[in-house]
Amino acid sequence: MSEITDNHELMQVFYKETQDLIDEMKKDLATLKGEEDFKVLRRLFRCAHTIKSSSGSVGFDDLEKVTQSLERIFQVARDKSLAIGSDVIPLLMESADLCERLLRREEVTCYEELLERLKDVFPA
Amino acid sequence: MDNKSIRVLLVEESAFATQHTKKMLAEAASSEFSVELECADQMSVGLERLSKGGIDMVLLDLTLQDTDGLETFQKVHSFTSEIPIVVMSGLDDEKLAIEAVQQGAQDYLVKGRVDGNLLKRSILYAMERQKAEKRIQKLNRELEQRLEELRATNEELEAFSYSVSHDLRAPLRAVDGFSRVLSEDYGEKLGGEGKRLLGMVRDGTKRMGQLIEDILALSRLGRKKIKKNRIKMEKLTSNVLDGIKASDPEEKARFEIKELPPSFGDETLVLEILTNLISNAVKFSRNENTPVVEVGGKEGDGENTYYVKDNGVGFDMKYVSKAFHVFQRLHSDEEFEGTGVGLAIVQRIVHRHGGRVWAEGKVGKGATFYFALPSRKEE
Repeated sequence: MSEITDNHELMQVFYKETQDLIDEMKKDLATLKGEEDFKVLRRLFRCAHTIKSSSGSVGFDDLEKVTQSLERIFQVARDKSLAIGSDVIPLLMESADLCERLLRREEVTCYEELLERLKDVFPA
Repeated sequence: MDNKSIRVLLVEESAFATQHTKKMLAEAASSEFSVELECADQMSVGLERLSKGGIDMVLLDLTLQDTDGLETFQKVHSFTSEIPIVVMSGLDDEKLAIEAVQQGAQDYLVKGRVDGNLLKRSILYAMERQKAEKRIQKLNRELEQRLEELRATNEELEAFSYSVSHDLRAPLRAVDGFSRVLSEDYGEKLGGEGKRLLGMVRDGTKRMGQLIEDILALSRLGRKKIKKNRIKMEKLTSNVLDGIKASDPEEKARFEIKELPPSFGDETLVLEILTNLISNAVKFSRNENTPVVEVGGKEGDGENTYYVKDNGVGFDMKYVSKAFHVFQRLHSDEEFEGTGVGLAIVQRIVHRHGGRVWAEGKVGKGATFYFALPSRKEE
C-alpha cells in the first residue's frame, strides 16, 4: 500500500476527491435538521461509502474506520426511516472534521472516543 | 492464451477509484495480459458505450448515483448477457455482492482490498467462467434437442408396435375360428394323427393371441398419462389377493402381508405391479408343498421400497439381468407357462414413476422382487 502513497499524481486525486466529499458531507449535515430526508441521507451515505473505499485503497485505515461507522449510520437511518436526532448531528459534524484532519495526516486525540460514540448511534 | 487486449469497461463514479484501477492494471500488465480500459462515470454513459459494442467485460461499481445496489447490476446484466460482469462492492456489502453473483455476475471485488494481481486474476477468471457458462448452456440446448428427438422416436415406436399387434388380431381370429370349426365339425374325419396336428395348430394360435395381447398391454403403458396419488399399499395388496382367491378358490398358497408404507403413484399402474409380481410368486411356487408368498415394504430416504418374496423354484442370479426384458424367460414353457412380458411391464411402470426395480433369487430356494417408488416431494 505504501507504493500507492508514493504515487504523487494518484494521491493528489485522492486528496482532492476526498476533500470535496467531506465538504459535501458537511454541507448536507447542516441541512439535516433531524427530519428524514431520503435524498440527503442517500448523498451522505454515498459520500461516506466512497471515502471508505478509497481510503482503504491507500491504506488510511483510520479514515476508513470512521467513514465505515458514518456509512452505517446513514444506511440505518435510510433503511429503517429513523430520524437523526438533533443531538446526534453535532457528533456527525465532529466526525466530518475528524475525517478532514485524518486526511491531512494531522494529529488527532479523540479518535477512539469518537468511534465509540458513533457505535452508540442506532445500536444493532 | 490470446495475446490480444481485453477491452474492459469500468463503470465507476469516483475519480480516485478510476485512477487507481488504471494504475493497478498498468502494474499487472504483461506480455500475456493487456487491458484496454474505457471508463464511464455514470450508468447511462456505460450503457450507451455497451450498446456500441466491442467491450469484452465490465467492471461495475454497485453504488452509482442513479441506481441502487442490485438494481444497478440487473440493469447492466439485462443489457448484455454475453459480456462477463465483475461487480465491485464496499467493505460491508459482501451479501449484496454475492447476490449479484447468484444473479449472474462472474465475480466480485471488495473496494479498498484489491491490488493489481487480484484485479488481473479476477478479470481473467471472469472471462473463462463466462466461456464455460456459455458452453454449458449450449450443451444443455443440444441435450434438450436430443431429448425431443428421442421422445418423438419413442412415440413412433409405440404407435408402430400398437398398430402392428392390433392388425395381427384380425387374421389370427380367422385362423383360430376356422381351425376350431375344423376341429369341431371335421375332427372325426381327420383321424388320430390329424387331430393331434390340428391340436398343435390351435395351441400355437392361443399362444400367439396371448403374445399379441401382452405386446398391446405393454405398448399401451407408454401412452398412458400417470396421475399420482397417495396409495394405501396394504389395501391394494389385499385387493390383489382377493382377486387371486376369486379366480382360483383352490389356491393353496399362504400369503403374509407385512407392514407396507403408503406409496405415491398411479393407483391403477401400481395395482398392475403388485398383480404381476404376486401372481408370478404364486405361479413359481406352485410346486412347493407349502407355497408362501410374502409382501412387505419399508420407508426410505426419498423413496419407499417394497418386495414380493416367494419360496418357489427361484432362478440363477447369473441371468438376473435378463429377467426384466421383454419375452426373456428364465424357465421353459413346459415348466411354467407365460410369455415373459409380466416383469417387463412391471419395470416399465416403475421406471415411469421414476423408481427402480431389482431381483434376487437362488435356484430351488425362491426369489424376491423389489421395487422402489420415489416419495412425494414436499413443495
